[in-house]
Amino acid sequence: MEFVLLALIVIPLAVCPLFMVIPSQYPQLSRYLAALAGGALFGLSLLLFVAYEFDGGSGLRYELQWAWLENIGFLGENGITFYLALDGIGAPMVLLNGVVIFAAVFVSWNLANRTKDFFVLLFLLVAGVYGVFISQDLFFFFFWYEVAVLPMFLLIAVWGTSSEFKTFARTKEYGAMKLTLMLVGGSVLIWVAIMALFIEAGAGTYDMTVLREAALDEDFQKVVYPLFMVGFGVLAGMWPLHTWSPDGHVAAPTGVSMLHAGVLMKLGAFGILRVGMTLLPEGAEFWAPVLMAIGVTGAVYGSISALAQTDLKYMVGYSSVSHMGFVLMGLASMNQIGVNGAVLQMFAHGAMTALMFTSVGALYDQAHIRDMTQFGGIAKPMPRHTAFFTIAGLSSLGLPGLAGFVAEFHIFVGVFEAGYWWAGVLGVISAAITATYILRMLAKAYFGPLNEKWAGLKEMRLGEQFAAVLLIAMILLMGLWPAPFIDRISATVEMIPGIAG
Amino acid sequence: MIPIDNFLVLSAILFSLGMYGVLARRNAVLILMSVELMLQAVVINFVAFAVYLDPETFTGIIFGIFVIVIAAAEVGLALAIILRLFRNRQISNVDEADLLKW
Amino acid sequence: MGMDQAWLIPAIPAAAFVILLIFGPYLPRKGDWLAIAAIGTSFILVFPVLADLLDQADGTTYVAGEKAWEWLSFDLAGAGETFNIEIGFYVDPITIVMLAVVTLIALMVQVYSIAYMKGDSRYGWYFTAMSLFAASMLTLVLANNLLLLYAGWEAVGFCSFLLIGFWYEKRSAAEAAKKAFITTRIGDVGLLIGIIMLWLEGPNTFNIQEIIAFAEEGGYETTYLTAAVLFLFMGALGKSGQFPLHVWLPDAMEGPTPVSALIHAATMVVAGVYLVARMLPLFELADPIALDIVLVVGLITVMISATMGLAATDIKRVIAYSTLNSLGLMFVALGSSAVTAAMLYLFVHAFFKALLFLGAGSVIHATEEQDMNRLGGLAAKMPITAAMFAIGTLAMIGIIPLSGFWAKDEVLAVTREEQHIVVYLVLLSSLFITGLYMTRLFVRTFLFAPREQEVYDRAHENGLLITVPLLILGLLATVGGFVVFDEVGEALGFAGGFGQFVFLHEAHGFEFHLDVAVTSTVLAGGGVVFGWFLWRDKAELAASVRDRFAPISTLLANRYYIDEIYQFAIDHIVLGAGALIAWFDRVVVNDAGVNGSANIGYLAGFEAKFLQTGRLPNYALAIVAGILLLSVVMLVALV
Repeated sequence: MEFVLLALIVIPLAVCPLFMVIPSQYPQLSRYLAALAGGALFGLSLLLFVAYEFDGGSGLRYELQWAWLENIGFLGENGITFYLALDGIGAPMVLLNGVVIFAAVFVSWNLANRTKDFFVLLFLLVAGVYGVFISQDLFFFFFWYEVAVLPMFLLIAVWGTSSEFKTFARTKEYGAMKLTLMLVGGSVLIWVAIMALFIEAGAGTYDMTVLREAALDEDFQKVVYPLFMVGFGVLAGMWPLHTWSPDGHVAAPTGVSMLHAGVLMKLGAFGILRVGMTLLPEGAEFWAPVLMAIGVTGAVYGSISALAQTDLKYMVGYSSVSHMGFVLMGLASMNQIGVNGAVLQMFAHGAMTALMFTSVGALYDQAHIRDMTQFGGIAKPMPRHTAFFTIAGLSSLGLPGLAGFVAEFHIFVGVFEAGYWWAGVLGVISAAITATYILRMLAKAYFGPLNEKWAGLKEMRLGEQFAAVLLIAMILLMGLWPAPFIDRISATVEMIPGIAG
Repeated sequence: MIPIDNFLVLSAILFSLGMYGVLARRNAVLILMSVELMLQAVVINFVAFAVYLDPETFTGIIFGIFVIVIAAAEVGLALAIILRLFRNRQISNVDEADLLKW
Repeated sequence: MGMDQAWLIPAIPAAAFVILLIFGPYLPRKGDWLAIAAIGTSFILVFPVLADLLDQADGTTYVAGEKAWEWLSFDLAGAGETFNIEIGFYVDPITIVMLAVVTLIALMVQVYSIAYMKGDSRYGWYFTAMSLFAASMLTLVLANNLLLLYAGWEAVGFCSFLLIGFWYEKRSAAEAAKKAFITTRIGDVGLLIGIIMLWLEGPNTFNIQEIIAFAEEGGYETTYLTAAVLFLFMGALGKSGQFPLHVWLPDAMEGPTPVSALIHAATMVVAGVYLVARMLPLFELADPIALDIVLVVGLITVMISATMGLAATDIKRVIAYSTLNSLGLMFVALGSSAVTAAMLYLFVHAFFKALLFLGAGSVIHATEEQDMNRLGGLAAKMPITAAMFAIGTLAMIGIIPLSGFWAKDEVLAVTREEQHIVVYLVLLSSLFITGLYMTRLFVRTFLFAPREQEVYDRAHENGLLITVPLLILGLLATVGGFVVFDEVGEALGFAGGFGQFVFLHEAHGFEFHLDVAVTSTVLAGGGVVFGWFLWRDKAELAASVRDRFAPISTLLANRYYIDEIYQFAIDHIVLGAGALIAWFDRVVVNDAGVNGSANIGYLAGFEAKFLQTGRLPNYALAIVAGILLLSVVMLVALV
């Protein structure tokens, strides 16, 4: 089984050279290869998720540790190891990544410009994401983190779209540049913090299972934790460092937006949880009120901003900011229910935002505009597309029976339990604002009399429908039967030091 | 034996003259000549210290020869540059050769 | 079959929904028969559950049935406790009343819809959504814990959104659907907070009965409990269209008329009443202010809806206002802790209000017109509809011996005994207004000369699929009130009348309050008579009254401008805040913050580059100055 885990990294890396040898005049071949690889990754992810035994032991399964550098200079025994293992938080994240990449391949099917180059970068990114979710070595954790972030620049700058708005314009180069610079800026903080952590622990190893045993000085934790919090927070769309996210989403091609909002932003929250809260519990405790305030600000701010958007992608982008604010709130509650909720929300938001981008992308491909005020009544020519978008929207506004509710409910309970009643109330209100902008969008663009200009719209492609159904299946699975997710997540979360009952 | 002070004073005077030339002159050839003066001041220092501090070996003197050789090479190169500058832009004033900026 | 299988009641329509959603388009008749068979089965299944509940009868008390399954659970680190969420059902007399109402009305409405929705392009989708609604509503009613109740609560709200916006090509329908969902959602913010509050200080469970038991042992602090139940009540406000969240219900009439009958009259809108009735022990344990708020809100709703009903001209809207009026009455009863009265009113209201809506639907189906200024004289052409509509009208007004009378008198008697005399007087005056506007509705629609000949010519009596449900509901609206009598209850196999079946603390038999009955009948009858004279024939008298009191009638016709105030608030405050924050985000956070910090780096480099003059002497001077400076520093350091 540990080689299945290894395969998650090896498969996407191995298909990259394969894409390179495919002659570029056969783009169809690249697409089939991408679908095959995506399907394999989805299958293996599902297998890992299902097979993961959550009871007993340290929670780490399928461990695989290969020495890379040791006993040199400042590195001691097992200094830097290639150490893979799956835990209960990684399991749903791995599944999420598998679902989203498989869906993203089908959504990107018609991409005609430099098809194979696109897939090379896409799979490189996916390898990085998988690496982050399953690495137990801090050095490789950071390595894969960078691998996941950097291909994004080219993916947006080459395949993206520039947009003109009434009062301002956003070129794709601007979006790509801003995204990359802000994320790399976050990485700098993370790397500084990792170095400080390594030296302070004095164990001569980057092995996270060893580092979490090191009793670090409380003042040190208080100083270093904010570096992790802000550094990872940038990628998690933490207010006020979120602006790369809406602009990046608007510029990125659909498949990339899906991975970006669906999985990549989760890396940030995952990093705060896996590295920040696990290795520096006292620092996390100290900074929790700040993180809570930032999270709730992001949640409310994002949803109110989304209310004012008329561009569909901006609306979805700001809704991501809002939902990642919920994740941060859950993490900041520092108790079991809230943190469980945060991880659930990472999964739920990943699936539903990927679904939203699938829908918006399908519409944009045909209409070439995204301004909701220019549409009207397009539910009639595109009923399935409407249904898919509606389901994604309902999940995001927290309709029971869909994934978003399960996650948000846990977060709210956790936040109240932790004593931040003001944050809880604002969070619930933010969910109601979400309902407002989702329904406003539906009423404006999809309902009402059909704008004759759009009578010729066709239903989504079958590939897109398949992607949407796959994502909806995940949303429904978690919404109706969350026990498999909760069991896995909770068993690992309760081992995080500093998590209260 | 002549006191070393005399050599050092001579060297200092030469060096200062050279430095004045480099800073005050605008003609490229004159600046080059001033640089040569500064180099010769250094050579005098090398030789004087070599003789006074360690008369058994020739380390300082060899350095002096190095400097002379390199100065010769430098003059060749510098004059070539100055010639190209004059051929192309009809100037020998370094103030006017200010393209390499910003 | 029996109590243990109560979960089948929502499960069957849910299964029908799934089948219809996936295979609906391929089924014969788009699967309408499946939806009807499902809800019919659910209706039949209520009886074994009821039989089990009655078998457990011990004198006049009933032992509630409850069963639950684990949905999710996890250990709380370090606390030695588990966090549990269950799904389960709880059946007691209140549940039974709701189950009976929901399944029966849903069955009637769906049968009626076969004819009413015939030929619609989304016929199959209609029955699919109706099945989902039935499943959600029955889940809400049966839920044994607050979270499952909330799930059903949100799901019925969503179904309401789907069905109000069923004809989404109409801009007004799309807007009404949005308005309904968002308005109720505002209330649901409170409901969710209330649920979490009850859990937070409570016994680590969402189970309703355990929470109530915990509260009865004094587990919650009074102020805290008051806050929690008032948050819960916010949810009820939104769902049951009470002031100030009543604005969505009249607009919801954009949906197909059978939908209005089922969702916006008989079932979903009474979910708020059901919630408060279910949680009433908590309201009683809380500070008395909580129940007073329930009462006052109900009273305000009664008055504003009755007066607004006087000015509306759309027949469906008039009935919608009468629904608000009735719901207000139920909350007044609940505010007096009278579960029996509230549930009795809910029970009979479902029959006569569904009857009114379906009757209105029959008119609309036949004439394609719902403005009463264009109707009139239809009684001649649609005798069955007119007769049934008359029964519904009289029941709504509360004329003895129709069902509405008994329920309304129960409410009046309770308020007279329990509350300040002003409350009683306000209710009595509302009865008079109810008599007025209901008479107006009937007279203007069915009697006297038709106002539009063309519309009148289209009118015809509808087929059996429409008239039979009308007749059945007409019968129930006539005799439904007799369940208050012990004899009737015993004949049906109960321990006694309604008061001995549904009660909070102790069962009580039926008492006839002659003085209340006479006063109310005189007032209501006075309303009818007065209304008759006002709106008879060409309604000249009404027109002159309206002109004389022009400011008031304008105010009423504009619905007290409440919608306009909200619209203003949304346009200027909410969307204004949105635009402000979006501007802030783009200009301050992005342009000033992000681009600004990038620009600082750029500008610093831009300014510094001018140090590179490109002139040799400057560089030479800099080198010399640097060397001198370093020499001085070193000298100082050495000395």
